[in-house]
Amino acid sequence: MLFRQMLREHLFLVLGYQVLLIANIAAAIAYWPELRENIEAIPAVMKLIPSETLRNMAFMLEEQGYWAYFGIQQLFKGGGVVAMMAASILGSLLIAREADNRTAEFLFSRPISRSRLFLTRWGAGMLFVQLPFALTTAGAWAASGLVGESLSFSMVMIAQLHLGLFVAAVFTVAATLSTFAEHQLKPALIVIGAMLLQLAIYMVKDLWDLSIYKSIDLDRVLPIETGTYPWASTISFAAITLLSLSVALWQIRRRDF
Amino acid sequence: MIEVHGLQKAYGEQKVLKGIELAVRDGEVFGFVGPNGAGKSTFLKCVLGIARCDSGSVRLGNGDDVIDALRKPLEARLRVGYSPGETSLYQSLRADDFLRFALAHYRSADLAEGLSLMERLSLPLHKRIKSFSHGMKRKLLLAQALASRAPVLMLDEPMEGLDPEARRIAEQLLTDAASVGRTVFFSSHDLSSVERICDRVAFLRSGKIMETGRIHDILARASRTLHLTLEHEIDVSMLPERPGWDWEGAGTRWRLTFEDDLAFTLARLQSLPIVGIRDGSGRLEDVFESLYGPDAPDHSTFEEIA
Repeated sequence: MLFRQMLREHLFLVLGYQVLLIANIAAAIAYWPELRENIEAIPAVMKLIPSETLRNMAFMLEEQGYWAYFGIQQLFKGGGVVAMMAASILGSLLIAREADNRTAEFLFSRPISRSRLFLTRWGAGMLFVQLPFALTTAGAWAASGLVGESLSFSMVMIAQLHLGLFVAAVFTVAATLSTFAEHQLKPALIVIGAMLLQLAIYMVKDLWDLSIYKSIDLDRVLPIETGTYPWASTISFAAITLLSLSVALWQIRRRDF
Repeated sequence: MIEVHGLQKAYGEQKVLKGIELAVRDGEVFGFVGPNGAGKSTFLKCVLGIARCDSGSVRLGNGDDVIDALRKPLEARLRVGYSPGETSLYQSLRADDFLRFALAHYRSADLAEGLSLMERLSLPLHKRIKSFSHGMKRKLLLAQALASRAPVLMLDEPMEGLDPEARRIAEQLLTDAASVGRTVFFSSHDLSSVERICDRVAFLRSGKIMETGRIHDILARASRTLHLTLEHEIDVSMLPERPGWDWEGAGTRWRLTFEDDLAFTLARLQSLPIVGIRDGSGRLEDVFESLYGPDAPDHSTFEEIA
């Protein structure tokens, strides 16, 4: 019942997120044939752009072709920006929405433990964030054939798993802030603000090693093709998720509603 | 039953509950009365573990099935059908779905009874809650609390916002619940309902219980009032006086507040040209007024009495 109630509350938000992900990758795939025709000209064009990070992406695009393009469009942009924002918002709503809408008193008066209640909602929220992202990635892999490209499905889904763990960490941090917050969107604003700052740092090549976006960029994702998995980043994402979850469970048990 | 000893709760520096002592028996309807901010809702939240209390003990249950509510809040909530004071509910749910959601984790809940109660309270089953008025939400909360079939009912302002017919039905439902051994504990500003259906009442002020007792005994102790209509106008100086008597009014209409026995008082009024007399005494509103009104003793006085 908790899952169903949450689905009803968030249905339009999740649908909107799914549509945004599909629109992002569908437009990108549709544009690929035109880009492929002119791919050799990209580095020349990119020299005009005052961002070493973007120039680096352009060179990788020329070098690796469609796999790099897929990585930029679906994984870095779809996962690192669209899914990150959805994860921030859904995580933010997890508990703070109940406090903000004044439904917390009713919810926490039900005979269910706070830990179970939180973990059920966290699990449902995680599913709402991950499923559209994973389905879009799988759909994009399938749609690649329409533009004459083919990628290894296992390689794509392993890269998806890596990005999924990044999104899970963002979602859990937002959910943890939600257990402290009174306003339903405040944690989302904090997390999105922090992530946009991280993205800005990433765009400065001298600083990009300090950005969390470095752990999901093409330097980490493309080597998956050769069997090199970014374990260090994965372990960091898992550690952030588990640590945040522990803090959230501690806070939810002690909070007054 | 509900047994509470020394329950204390503070939000930061502000002490909201200052050592609440209460005992409510199985099958009793107990009213919990106090002005806004007295700590009624906080008390209910503390008992159910929605807010953590700082110290004290709470035991609740029915018959031999009694548990320590503060140590086992989940077990406590299984034994309590709760209707919160806050009527903000999940707007996107239909009323029947809300009922399913509300009862989902109660072992003893009866969904069919809940649906039947909703019909009895004239609630549309399949309408979304966002179309509900305040009173309809209040009825829905009452229905889910009753349908939990938990042995203890804790209701925060259950009569607030109800129309007279709904209030009558709600009072009947609570009386029926008590008659089958369920403990009914409700906070209310609606003193007429408290007076009609409660066996006992506790008055809360600034986080402390000022008085607890049977409704009948409290009303009997309260100041009594007679409304007199006289044949002709008289001046206040012509009215009989006694210690504890207080006259208000003018001309032919006077109100006497007294603390003596009624027969004794009537005997002292025989000298007056009375053409009409009405007994206005014995209302809980008067007790409330005496405890919380402008002439009420301040809190320190109560602490001295205690």
